[in-house]
Parts: sequence; structure tokens; C-alpha cells
Amino acid sequence: MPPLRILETACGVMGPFSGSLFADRDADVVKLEPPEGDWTRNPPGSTHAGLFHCINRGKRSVVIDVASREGRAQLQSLVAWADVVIAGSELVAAEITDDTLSSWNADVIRSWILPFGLSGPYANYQAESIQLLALGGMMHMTGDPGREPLQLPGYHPEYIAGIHAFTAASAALVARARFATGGQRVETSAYEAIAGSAEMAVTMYVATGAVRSRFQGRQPWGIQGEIVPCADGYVAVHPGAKGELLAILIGRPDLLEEPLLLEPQYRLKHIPEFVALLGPYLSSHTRAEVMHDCEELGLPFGAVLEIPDLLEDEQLEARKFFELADIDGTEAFLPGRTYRTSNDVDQRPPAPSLGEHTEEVLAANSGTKRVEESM
Amino acid sequence: MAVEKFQFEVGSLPLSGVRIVDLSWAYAGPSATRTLAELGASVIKIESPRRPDGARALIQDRNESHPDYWNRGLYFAEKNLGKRAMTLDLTKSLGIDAFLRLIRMADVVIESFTPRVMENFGLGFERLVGEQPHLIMASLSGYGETGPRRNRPAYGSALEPEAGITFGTGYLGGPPVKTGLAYTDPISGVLAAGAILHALYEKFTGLRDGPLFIDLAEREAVLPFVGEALAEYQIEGKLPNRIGNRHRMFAPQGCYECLDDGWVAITVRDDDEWRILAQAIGIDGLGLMEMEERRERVDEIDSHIAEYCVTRDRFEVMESLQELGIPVGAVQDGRDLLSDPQLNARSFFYSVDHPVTGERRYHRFIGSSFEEWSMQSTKHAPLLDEHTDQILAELGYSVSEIEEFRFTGVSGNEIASLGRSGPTLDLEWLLEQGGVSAVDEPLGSRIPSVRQSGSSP
Repeated sequence: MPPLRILETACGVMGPFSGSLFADRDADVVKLEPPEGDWTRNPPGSTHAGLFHCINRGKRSVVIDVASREGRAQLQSLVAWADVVIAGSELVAAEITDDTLSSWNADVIRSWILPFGLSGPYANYQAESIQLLALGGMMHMTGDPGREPLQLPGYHPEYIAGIHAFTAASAALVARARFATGGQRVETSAYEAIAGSAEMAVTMYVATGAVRSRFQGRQPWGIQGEIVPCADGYVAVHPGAKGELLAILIGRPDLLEEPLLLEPQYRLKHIPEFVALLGPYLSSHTRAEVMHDCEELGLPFGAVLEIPDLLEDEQLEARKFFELADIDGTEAFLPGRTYRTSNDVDQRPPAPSLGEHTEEVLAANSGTKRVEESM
Repeated sequence: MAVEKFQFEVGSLPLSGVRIVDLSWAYAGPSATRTLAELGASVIKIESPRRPDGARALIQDRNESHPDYWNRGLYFAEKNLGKRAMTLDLTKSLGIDAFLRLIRMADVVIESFTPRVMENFGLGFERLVGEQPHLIMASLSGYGETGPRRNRPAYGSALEPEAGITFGTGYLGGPPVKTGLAYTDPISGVLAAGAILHALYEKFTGLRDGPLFIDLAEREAVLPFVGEALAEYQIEGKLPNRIGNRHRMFAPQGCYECLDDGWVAITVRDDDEWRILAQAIGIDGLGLMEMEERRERVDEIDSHIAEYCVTRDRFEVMESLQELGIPVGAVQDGRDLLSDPQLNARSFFYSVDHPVTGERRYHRFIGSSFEEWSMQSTKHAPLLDEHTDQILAELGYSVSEIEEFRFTGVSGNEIASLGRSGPTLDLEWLLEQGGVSAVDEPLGSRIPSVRQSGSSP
């Protein structure tokens, strides 16, 4: 059986991250790049291609100028080759429509990934990450009451949209395999992906009429990860379902019936007292010590880990999570597969250099008949 | 394995006929199986008669306290649309017997216990594959199924800090800030659905013959989000600063207050956008500044933008500046989302009836829509123990055997006998503290109208 064939025409984070989830599963992912390369190879304001190396492992890179006649013909033959085309704003800008893609290959799944999707009143709106977090309801719930809503820096909505697009394209592939339905259009909107992930923003309002707001990381139904200082940083205090374990954690068995520890709503209303109760223990223990004690007791705390901590994390190391990349001569450990299976090989091949596979892919594909010619 | 291609009938869905046994609870796992149910899978949710899914108690409908609270939690309802539910005690041999009958008929099993639990039940992957050689098993955990810290208990809201996300989030000069969300859960849920779909694709096409184990660590699922920061540290030795709402590359970017406590997020990505924005907000004289200078004078620029926004409605600001091609997004809350014209144009919301609470509005979890079918459940989230007898009968148990399940407490609802009432929230206190920003009459079965352009709902 030949592997699944993915043609990734989108640059940036959303489309390529969705493509990388297929590459993680040993699909043959052909990444189309414009002559100047995917912009993540050289992000504005950055001095390195780290972002590119994070999300393009295990792919083949083909340089095509879709604005040229020759490039368009090459694109057409690659669409005819593919099981899935990952499409984004680049194809929209080149005026290559969904109908065009389906006329080139009736069996191809067209996985469009865009900030707002192909239709609706916002379809042509511009958005960076912060606008998607704002519109999608997450920013309203992040930060302090009385201060401005807060973003998550980086590309969170783009990564989340990439995951949703992988799932959606996989559903369309299942339908095609089982029912011979042929290709279809699948649209992933990063805005909808964020709105769909904004925990209980909509449903709490539907249920109770209350509008969830930013509350210093708390949920209105209880403290689930209060960020509190400890001896060498911060931990996220999460009492789980068994608050009495907190009394044992802090060495105060006399407090086994203390409502501050036992009752979620009471605790929420008395946060300063609650934090003060944990204070002596936390300020005399490091994150590692706190997490060790919590694991013994079965308390779901988390440590606020910094970037160097992640690289030294014993669990990630034992699971060989990070993969080594050579970024223009500097070696760096970058995140590995988002999930693993009993069929995985150990490591994914590194990200390709620009146009590394142009000749090989175009030569192999030059004899491929377009679908409508072979029908 | 040969693939049988079925005729596609109107109404058939990609997973029609696919059977999923669901031991997961809370948020991540149930959102995966809700997505799979919307794609046509038959999902059977298994709960303990003594400790059913804790999400059942959260966010009681109308914030009212009722003795049958386990059927009135909307936190549970939205995550379990389209499934059937049964109770089984997996610490008893009769419970194990029924579970293994289910596994023999299943394509997929999914669970989200800490990794030792399935082994403690004697129901690890190898045991289950012994019953069903083509089984796909998905295990969701905080830290993964292997490694020295595998048995750390975890919830999504404490994994966001463990993934390095929280440390880089916060106001300028302030401490780390966590989102108010179980952040990793919905992301891992949709990813788990994708992992299962991909595994089913391999099975249906013959790309893989035999069983598959999926090990999804929620922390690892979101670690790529800090990939760039990891690279930056190793290449340049630089650690991420907490930058509030600014952008690492573009200037200005910020969140600005509008009329009526509304906010907009604005980004300027290049010199052209800056010239256009400067003109639109009446500071033409500053319009020729380049990115470097804008970064240096960002406080001054912010005050001009703030002055423009504060006298206007957030949607007016968004629409007029988007018209000029500038990325501007209004900060929306849950109430705004329900009225949002884009989401409503794209079938993001739909109503589903429920035998206890009545019809309620739900939203899609996945940001994707399909040409060939819609992602809308028509079945309510199951009541506790609702389908136990029906499913036991399907598994071949006789009426008297089913009585045995109830008599021995292997199935049933033991929390009913505890006489507790539903937990409610003190909404007035939350409003005072800022945990909620408004309290309206509950919507009930009403459908909010769609916002017209140019104004707040």
C-alpha cells in the first residue's frame, strides 16, 4: 500500500502544523513553497528558522511559483496525485478556487484552513493570533478582573486550527474509504476552533445567564490551578476531588475537616486565607519537591515550568519526546509527535531544506495522468 | 484486509456502524467521543455506579438545586451529546464480563484514567487485544503512559503551566498568568478524535492490519505551541518575556478599551497598515513611522489608539478598521458569541432537546465543517444509567441476568441514595468579584438574535 499523499500548499503555522500531524503518521507530505520559501524559514523580526523546524519534520519540499503558467501546471499535476490538499490564503490569493481543485481531482479532499473559513460576513477579515483569541472568547476569560483581557503570546489559534483540520480531513478520508464518496471540501476556521475550545463561555451563559469573565485563572466553579509562589518559582494549586489530601500535603492533619480545604465554593470565596494556609509549606519547598509530594498523595498540582525546565524534564526525557534539529548549524531539541502509537518508529526525519525535493517530486509526477484524463 | 465499499446513503455518516466504548470522563476524552458521535459513531459511555462522571454536577441548569442534579449539569451535557450511557462496576467480575462483551463488538475503546488504573482493573491493552484483535485503544493522560512520572494525576488546567505556556503569559512586568480554562482538554479531545479517525482510516484501507494503541499525553499535545520559544532559547539563549498584549515582531499591537467596557485587539503588521490606521484615527502626522520607531514609541502610539477607541463601540471600531484591511477583533464573551453573525452564518450553534432540562443551545467543539454532512448532534446527553438495561440486553444478557447486575450493585445509581442536592454557584458574589461580568435571565430554550453590524448586541 502506498502511503497517504498530502499536498501542503499553505505556508505559516495553521496549514503546515496540520500537515505535520499527517507526516507524524508516515504520510508522504509534499510541502509546496514559493521561491522565497515558507515565511517561517525567516520570520520577520527573528534571526532563525526555529519555527519552521518545529512544524515541518518529515516532509518533502518542492518549490513552485504558482503565479507562473508552468507552476500552475505543476500544481495541477500534484493535486491530481494527492489524497488531501491542505489549502490556505495562498491559494485564495492566487485565485485557485475550491471548484478548480475539485475539477483537477474529483477524489481529493480539499482541507481549507483559514482564519474565518471561506464564507460568512467575516470571510475577508484580517486576523493575527490576538484577534482570534479576542473574537473567540478566550481573551475575555484570561487576565485579572478590572484589567484588560490578556492574550496567549505566540500562535495558539493557528496550532489549534491545525489540529482541528487534521481531525476533519481524517474524517473525510474515512468517508471516502468506506463509502466511495470521492473528494469533498472541508473547511476549518481558526475562529471557530477557538470559540469551540473556550471552556463553558457559551454554555454557562445558556445554562445560568452568567457571563464568564477573567478571574485570575480561576474557574467560577472553583480553584483549579491557582498560581502560587513556592521556594523556586510558582506552582498551580489544584485540590482535585479530595481536598483533605491538602491537609496531609502541608503536614497539618489537624485540618482534615477544615472547610477551606474541603469545600470548593468556600475555598473560592476565601482565597487569601486558603493561600495563606498553604504558604508555609509552599515557601519552604521547591517545585520539584511539591510535585513529588503531590504525586505520592494523588493531588493534581502542576509546576509552572520555564523553557529550560522543559529541556531537563525527566518525564519528557524518558519518553524521548524531543527531537534533535540542525537549525542552520545550531543543534536544538524541538517538540516531537503530539501523540504516539504502538506502530511509530522512533524519530521523524528532519525538516527539508528549501526545494530539497523539487526535482525528485516533479520528475516522478510528470507522467501522472490527471484524473479527468484517466476517467 | 479487503475493504467493502458501502453505497453512500443520504444520512449516512463517515463513522456509521463504528462502535466506540468510552470510559473517559470530565472534558478531554468526552469531547473526543462527542466529535466521533457527531460523525456517526455509536458511542457507549460507561460510568461507575458509585462515582459517575464528575462533570454531571457542574453548572446546574438555571443554577437551581435539584435532587436529580446528575442529569442537570450543562458542563456534562455539552460534552456528551449523541452518546448512550450505562453504569458498570469494573471492580466486580460481572462488570468485567459485560465490559469484555462490549470490547469484542467494539472498534475503539477510549479511556482517560491515570495510567495504572486500567492495569489495576486487569484491562490493559494486551488483555483487550486478546478479546478483539483489531482493537484501537486510545489512552489519554496528563504525562503519557510510559516514563517515571506517568502516574501523576492531572487535569487540563494544571497542564497548561506544565507545558511552559503559563510562564510566558502575563501582563508586562507581572507574574505568570494562567487562562481561566482547562486549556489542554478541548485541544487534546479534538486531537484524540483525529488520532482515532486516522487509525480507523488505516484499518478501513488496509494500511494497517491488527490492533493499535494510542498514547496521548495532554502535555505533549500542546508542547509544540512553545516550540518557537524552545528554539529561541537554544539558539540565542533568550527566554520569553511576558509581553502583555504586545507582539514579538509587530508594533503596535494591543487591547484597547471601547465604550461600555468593551475591548478591541488591534495589530499593525507593516508600514502600509500603519499609514492607513494613522489616517483613520486622525494622527496622519505619525503615519510615516517605520516598525523600529513604532516599537520604540509604542506607549505614545498606544495612547492615541486608546483615545480613538474609548469613545466608540467595539464593533464599530472592528468593522470600520477591518474595512480598511487592518486586523482588529472585538473581545467577545459567551453572550456575544451566541449572537455573532459569522458563527451563526456557519451553523456553529444548534439546539438539542433534553428530557429533564428541555431544549438548550449548544455549539460545535470542532472548528471544521464539511461539504457532505453537518456536525450537529440530534441526541441529548445521556441520563445517568439511562441505557444500561438496553445495552446489557444487546450484549445477550437475559432479563434475570440484568436483574442480577442491579441486585449486586454492578449497575445502578448509588449516588441517588445519598440524598445530596445539586451544587449551585453564588452568582451575585461572582459578579461582585469579577468572576462573571454579567448575569441575565437564563436563556432556557430561547435563541438569541444575531447581532446587526455596527453595534453591540
